Amino acid sequence: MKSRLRIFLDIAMTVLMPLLMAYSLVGETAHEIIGSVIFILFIVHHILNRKWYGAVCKGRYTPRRIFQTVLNTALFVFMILQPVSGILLSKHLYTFIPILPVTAALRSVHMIVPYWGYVLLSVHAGTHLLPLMSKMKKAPLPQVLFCADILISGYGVYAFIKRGFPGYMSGSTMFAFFNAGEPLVPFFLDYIAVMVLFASLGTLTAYLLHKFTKTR
Amino acid sequence: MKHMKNILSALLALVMILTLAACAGGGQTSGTVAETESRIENMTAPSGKTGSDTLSGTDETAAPSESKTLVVYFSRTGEQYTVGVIDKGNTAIVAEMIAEKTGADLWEVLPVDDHYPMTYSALTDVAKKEQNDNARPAYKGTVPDLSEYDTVFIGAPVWWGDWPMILYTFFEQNRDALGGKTLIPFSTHEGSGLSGFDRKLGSAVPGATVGKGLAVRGNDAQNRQDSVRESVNIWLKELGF
Repeated sequence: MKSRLRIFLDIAMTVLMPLLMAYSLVGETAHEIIGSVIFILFIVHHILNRKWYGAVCKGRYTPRRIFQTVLNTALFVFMILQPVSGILLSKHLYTFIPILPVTAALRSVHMIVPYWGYVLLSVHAGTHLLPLMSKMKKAPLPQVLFCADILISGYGVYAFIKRGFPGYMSGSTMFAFFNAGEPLVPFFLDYIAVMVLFASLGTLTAYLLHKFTKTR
Repeated sequence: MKHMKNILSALLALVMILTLAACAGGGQTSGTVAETESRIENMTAPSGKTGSDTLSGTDETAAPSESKTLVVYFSRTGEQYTVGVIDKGNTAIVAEMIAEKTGADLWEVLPVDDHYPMTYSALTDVAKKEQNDNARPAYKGTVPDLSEYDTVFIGAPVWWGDWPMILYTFFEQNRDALGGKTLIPFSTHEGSGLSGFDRKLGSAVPGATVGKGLAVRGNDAQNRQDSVRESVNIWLKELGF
């Protein structure tokens, strides 16, 4: 069972991420501040989970563990690339840093990584929610929760397409579209639905891998 | 080395701005672009409606070339995003379509010196620096006499999510003249859409009526001109042209 601090940090990052994705809708300066905060939380998250690094080279690599390790490695790379590219492109907070002659490349990184990162972070969260899901079986109305999850995830597929994720993730859209003045609530609802969709897929994946590992 | 060039450009821009300010004084210099013969009715305040009255003509003494609409645009050639090396800018293409359909005059915002690179990556760096510095690069030439126009279309590519800084020079230097008019923004982009051009224009020129803008994909402007022309015409029709 994770310590309260670690849970708090994880929830904080989860809440801040859709805000970050909203970019100009919350304001560019706010985006840079939230990005900086998430970067710090990410670093603390890794310090608190440092035992994972020690164990990486030890023990048996089951399919479940391979999946987790690959996912975590990808996320680690993304969560360095994203803040660093953001800092180097900073317009409000880090303007003391000289502009490097690679802004176009940095921008491309800062454009593709967040959408992959958002999806994979949701999966990452989902894989770690499996124990929680098991506990929920004992909850009063597990079917309601399950149905709600299916419905929200279903909407998440629609939101995933509507918000342009396929274009951003494939690199066919290289410039983010924001409808200036768009109300924030629908934006967040869409992004939360996408998060629920991929978290659910993550939990499902963890469950299937767990079962697969057990039957070996 | 690049920084030296930027500093020199900025200094040159500053000198130009100061010179322009000194020469122009408080009023407008008379335009050399498209001098119209009758200017009498233009002295009255514009109606403030978004475009529907602009060309219907309260003007009985108009010369055939008279136009109450102006299209101001900033556009780059050279290597641009996804279109390769072009010799006519995406925004210029759209600007000309608007002028063709409305009979408007055209005026291009040109930088006073040659400091915008012709390669995409280098241009992106320059644009980034200008934005971070909140620069006001100077444009060359004199703006047409804005008192002759009721409606001004203003277009540019989206650079780092905003108007290129040179447009802010244009807005600020002509703020009073633009203030009572209908301003209609249009952008060329590769995904950003209008990118808040309308709101930003409204903030830069308080008192102006900002019309509904049009966003055109740069690649479409370059390679799918018939389709873009159709979109432009539909948009203009909605605006009352």
